[in-house]
Amino acid sequence: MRWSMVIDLDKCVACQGCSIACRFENNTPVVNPAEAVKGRAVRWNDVFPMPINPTEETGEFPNVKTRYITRPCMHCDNPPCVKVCPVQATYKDDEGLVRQNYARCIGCRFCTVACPYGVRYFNWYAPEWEEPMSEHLNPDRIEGDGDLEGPAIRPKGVVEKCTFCIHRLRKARARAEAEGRPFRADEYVPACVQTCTGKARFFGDLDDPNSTVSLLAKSPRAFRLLEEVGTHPKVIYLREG
Amino acid sequence: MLKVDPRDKAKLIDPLFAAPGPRFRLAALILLAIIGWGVFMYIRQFLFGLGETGMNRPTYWGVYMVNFIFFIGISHAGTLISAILRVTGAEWRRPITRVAEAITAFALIVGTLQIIIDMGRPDRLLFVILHGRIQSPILWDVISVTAYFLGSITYLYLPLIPDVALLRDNAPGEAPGWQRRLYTLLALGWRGTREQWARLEKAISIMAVFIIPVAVSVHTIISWILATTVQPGWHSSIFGPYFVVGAIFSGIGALFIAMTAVREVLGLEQYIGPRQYRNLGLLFATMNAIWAYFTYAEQLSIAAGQQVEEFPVLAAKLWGEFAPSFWVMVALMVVAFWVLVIPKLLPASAERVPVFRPRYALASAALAVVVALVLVSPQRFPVSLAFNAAQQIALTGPALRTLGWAVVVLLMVGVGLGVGPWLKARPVTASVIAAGCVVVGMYLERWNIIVPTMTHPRLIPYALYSPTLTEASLTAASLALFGLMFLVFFKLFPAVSIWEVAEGRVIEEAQSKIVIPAPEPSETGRLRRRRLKL
Amino acid sequence: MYLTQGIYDLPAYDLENSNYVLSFGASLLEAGPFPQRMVSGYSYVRRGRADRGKVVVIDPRQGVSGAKADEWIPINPGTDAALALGLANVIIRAGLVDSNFVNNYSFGYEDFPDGSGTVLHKGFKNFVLENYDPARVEEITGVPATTISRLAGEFAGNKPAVAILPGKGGLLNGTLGGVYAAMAVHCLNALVGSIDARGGVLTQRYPILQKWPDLPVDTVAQQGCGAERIDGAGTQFPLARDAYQAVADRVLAGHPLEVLFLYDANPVYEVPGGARFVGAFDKIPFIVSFASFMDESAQYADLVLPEPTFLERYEDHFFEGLGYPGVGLRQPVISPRHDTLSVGDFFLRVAAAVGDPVARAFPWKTYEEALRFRLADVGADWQMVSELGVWMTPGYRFARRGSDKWVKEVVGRDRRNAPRDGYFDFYSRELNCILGTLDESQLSALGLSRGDTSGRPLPGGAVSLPHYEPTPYVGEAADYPFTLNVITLMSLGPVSAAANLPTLQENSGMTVGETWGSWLEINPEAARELGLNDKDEVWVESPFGKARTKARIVKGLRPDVVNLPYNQGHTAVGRWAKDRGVNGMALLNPASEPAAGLAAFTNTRVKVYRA
Repeated sequence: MRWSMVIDLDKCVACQGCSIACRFENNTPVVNPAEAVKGRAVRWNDVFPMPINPTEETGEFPNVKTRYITRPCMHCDNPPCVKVCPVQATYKDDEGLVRQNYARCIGCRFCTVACPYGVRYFNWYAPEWEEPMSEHLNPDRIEGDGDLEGPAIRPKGVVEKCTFCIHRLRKARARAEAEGRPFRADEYVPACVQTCTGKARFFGDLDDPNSTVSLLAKSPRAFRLLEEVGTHPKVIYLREG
Repeated sequence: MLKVDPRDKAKLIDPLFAAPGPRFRLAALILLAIIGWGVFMYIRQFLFGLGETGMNRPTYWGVYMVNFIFFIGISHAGTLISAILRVTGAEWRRPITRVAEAITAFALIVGTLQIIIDMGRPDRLLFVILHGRIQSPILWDVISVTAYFLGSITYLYLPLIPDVALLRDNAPGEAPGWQRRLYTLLALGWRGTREQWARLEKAISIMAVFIIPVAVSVHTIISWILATTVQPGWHSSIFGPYFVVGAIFSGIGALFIAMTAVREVLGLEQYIGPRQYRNLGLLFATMNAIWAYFTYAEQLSIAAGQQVEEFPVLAAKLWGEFAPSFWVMVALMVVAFWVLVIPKLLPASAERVPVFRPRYALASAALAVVVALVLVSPQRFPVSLAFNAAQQIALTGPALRTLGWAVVVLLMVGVGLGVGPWLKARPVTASVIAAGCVVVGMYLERWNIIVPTMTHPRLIPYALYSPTLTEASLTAASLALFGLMFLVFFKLFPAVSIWEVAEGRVIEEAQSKIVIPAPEPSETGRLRRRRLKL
Repeated sequence: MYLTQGIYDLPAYDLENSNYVLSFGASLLEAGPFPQRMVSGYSYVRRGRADRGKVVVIDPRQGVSGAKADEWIPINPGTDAALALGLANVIIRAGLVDSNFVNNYSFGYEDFPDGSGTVLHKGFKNFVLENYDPARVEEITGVPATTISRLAGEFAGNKPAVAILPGKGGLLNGTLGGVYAAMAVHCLNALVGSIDARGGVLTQRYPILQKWPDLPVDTVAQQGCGAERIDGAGTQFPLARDAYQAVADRVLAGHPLEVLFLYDANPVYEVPGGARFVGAFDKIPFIVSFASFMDESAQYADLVLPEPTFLERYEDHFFEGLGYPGVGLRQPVISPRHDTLSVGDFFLRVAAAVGDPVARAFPWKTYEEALRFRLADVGADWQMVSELGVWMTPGYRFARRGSDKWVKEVVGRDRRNAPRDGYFDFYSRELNCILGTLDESQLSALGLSRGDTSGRPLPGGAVSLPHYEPTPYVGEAADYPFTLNVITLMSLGPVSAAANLPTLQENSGMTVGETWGSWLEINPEAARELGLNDKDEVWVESPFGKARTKARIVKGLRPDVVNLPYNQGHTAVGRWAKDRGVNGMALLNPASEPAAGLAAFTNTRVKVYRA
């Protein structure tokens, strides 16, 4: 099983519904204005205009070309972040998810430096929720022996990133097991996929040749971000037009 | 009871037993105050979080990483001087090995401290051992730095044994008990027997050979922490050798400063003399040239390739927000090279040239500054306005500007030549000036490697990075800690390796007694001249 | 839609079947009136079927909609009417009109001669042909004539095509010009036969609702029903049915008002020049606010009776924008967390307390009961509707042109004065009934004239034809070089309460990378001329006020327009909304348009200078 996401940029309208849904699903803390200005806001899924830096021509008025992209973690098959972690706080599991264990992370930030997509975020301070914001936290978490992942409230000094909503995967698997039947790949979608207003996001098993993501991955419009860097990202985009 | 030359005793041993003087106390107090302030700021950072620094997204590494690379770089002084020069039989190294080895040990401690300061969860430091992943460059770094540290401590300690034994045996009556006990303990029962000397020499030789590759590996691996990522400006194959060269370079700079400090404060002019400065200076100038070569090679490939992610990093250094730090670094290195080399090239007769005097050099410098200001800031001075007006009128506006800059350069060359004889007469001062330039320049170089790449990522908007008081305080405290360790170490142990210097004297004397005979007339030649008529 | 098609409602668009979507306004994909429907429709146009539809956005600002569109037309603000009529001009000349529709099911297309052949009223066709050739339209709108011709050809040649008005865009410029522009756009649809056609304009249908019981009318009620509306709709503003922002002016002018209920309205903040409401509130003895969050207007209320939030109350929501009828039943997912009462329940209790005959008119104990009553005939029982949360009749049923259904439901259904004869009014008879009897001086009092826009006397007047009226900008162009556009973001939206959500604040300025505050979008060339760099602090000043914020350079913007995002600059609502950024509404012209009572959003000029 290899979880993958396909995002059709021709249907995406950059409404940020995905980003906001992700924040609430995964207990992303708000960092407050002074910190946000310093660029320390946390956005596991981020929507932003492209090109993000003036490395490409965008034209001059009135022939201005602006594009928008929405970016979760790429869950690369050859993740540069996993390669450099000194304590295996981040690792790739057997389903292709790149995991992040808050209980193991030492906060060296090598992984954040190594990721060319910028999908990783660091907790510069301990996350805070002012009353009554703390009442809406998602209680789901992945917790185990020396393991703390997913929407669990992060301590300060650790790295966090998109998990493809692994807690939902666990719950779906547990439900299938409780009902005594095999788990099907279409039983679980991350929050962003569920919320997308333009129905632009698709999710599934890339190892299954008949899954939606596999079929869409063959589209002539398909491309991946920063392919030349050799990370083999598993988020596939479909070009506009 | 080991004996020691009375001159050595007076200069090197007696001061260690004297009570700390007022200068020592003052220095120690100031350094402790700075360290104390640093500890306070660190506790704040530990309690609140790394948000207290100026780091952000995308600048996840900043001053602490720069400090880390800088300090570990300086630690290469010891290896070069002690190990390489020992292995190659360079006798002039003898008075400065102790200082060099001390620098190494302390720099490694302070350097490693920087990494702990930089961690988000220093309480989980042991995870690096318990759950370490050997595939990670940070683990390679931990292994090599640990090996190097243990090796350096050993390499510092081994040659210290005979000296400590000397201290044990030549302590004055009123020496405090703890000090005697310390020396006795550390001397490990050294009696100076032939066997012991043989064993010691062997051990030191083995260490010397072993530690060289370890040292090379240390800074290479540190460079690979950067080079194994795909970030623009870092993913370069030249990083390994480049960092080693830079490390040795900055190490020599630190050594110059440390040995001069020790020389001045402890009055060791007889030991650390012109020969050390001259030879080390040659090495320094060579490393400068090699460093410049690597720097140029590194930037050239980016400049020529002009890839969209890489080029902005270089552009930021050449003419962007990092231009001041980049060009100051280049200027400092050029000044260092000039200061080291030009006095050596000038003939003694240059002294008699009237314009080659400091006062003319100062005048030229002032004039150069004025002309530069005129060229650079158009509105500030009436002269500038006049100049600008002249530019408009004359059709050769740009040519006038170029002429202006050429005048500045010429004046600066004049300055350089003017101070030549002055520097030539003061090799120690010249070396310290050069070393100071290099140490600052190399710090800037580390900054220029880390920060421009961090602030120019691919898929995050370009950012700015300004360190905060926390980072500045911890940097100052680290330097103060380094200084304090130095201060305390050389209050307890001799700054010059007494036995090595004594050994050197013996060798020199023996060599001066050897008469090298003139060549004998050769039979073969004589026969050949007669027989073969060519 | 009312003045042409005779339907008093917002048009619904069959985007899913349209091949060519011409959007007059950039809020197609950003916080328009039905954002989810527009987004779903856009998505389907792009990839829901084999042939990908084309989308063109016409607005002075590119925004997200212009970026996603196949083409962005940066039009001079307030000139949409001219562009629409310019397109009509080309379509007519090229013979691409749907002649069946235009000849048989419309009124006022051709000239209206009297018996002897003299033209009494100019028809739409000749009016447009004579006044809106592409060269002239280029002068007015700034859109090149070649582009106009090309767009017209694409629009008419790629049927089904639809021209849409997704939001206020540049249209509500505080003059009747806004209304004429809307008419012109609607006429474009009519020209190509997109009225009640696949891929065109739909008439929103509603489910069958049980009729309210007959209300006994007592003397108080009789007086009330006969009185002039406090907002002047129908009287001061002859064309208006409501004019919410005018309440302040009228109260200040002396119209008496004893009790004011504020429901889902925050006029002190939301309305251009909302500070007038503070003065008006002073004159109203009793004000009650139902706001769920203490907003700027609720602060002045004598009584605040907060309504529970949308998660805690019953409410009905009729489908809008889809065409086919349906009703969503909002039900509480949690019981109210605080001592709150929904407005419906409140009024039912008040009615019960007042006693007969009012109590008899409201025989339900709770709002839920009232809803249940109303939805009894909707086609499913209450339990089914509650379980599903929605009940609809999917699938829009188009009416055949000229059929009974056409006449009853599609064209002319809501006309009050003009005949309900099923003819689409290119020449608005409704307008003519209201304004045609006024003389020239009365018309100019309303800001209108009988001639055409170049002053030529027009037989019958242009007053009832869609035409371009230049925006009467407040502020001289020399002193105030920019038009101010206050834009609604998808992140913060139009509702004041959203500004108090920290997560939304932290993601508010996605297009420019800003958070937690305001900014002024300005074109790079315009900024250069003012010597401004990106992120410089600036003052933006109109004749009505000034505000200090950060300038952000945005390429996708006309050089003579600046944008301020809406929903910042609050002084209440909550700790995260308060004292953050600036409120663009305070800079806008507070006057209401004289004929239709419209609030002015885009007729204010500003100047920008470094702070």
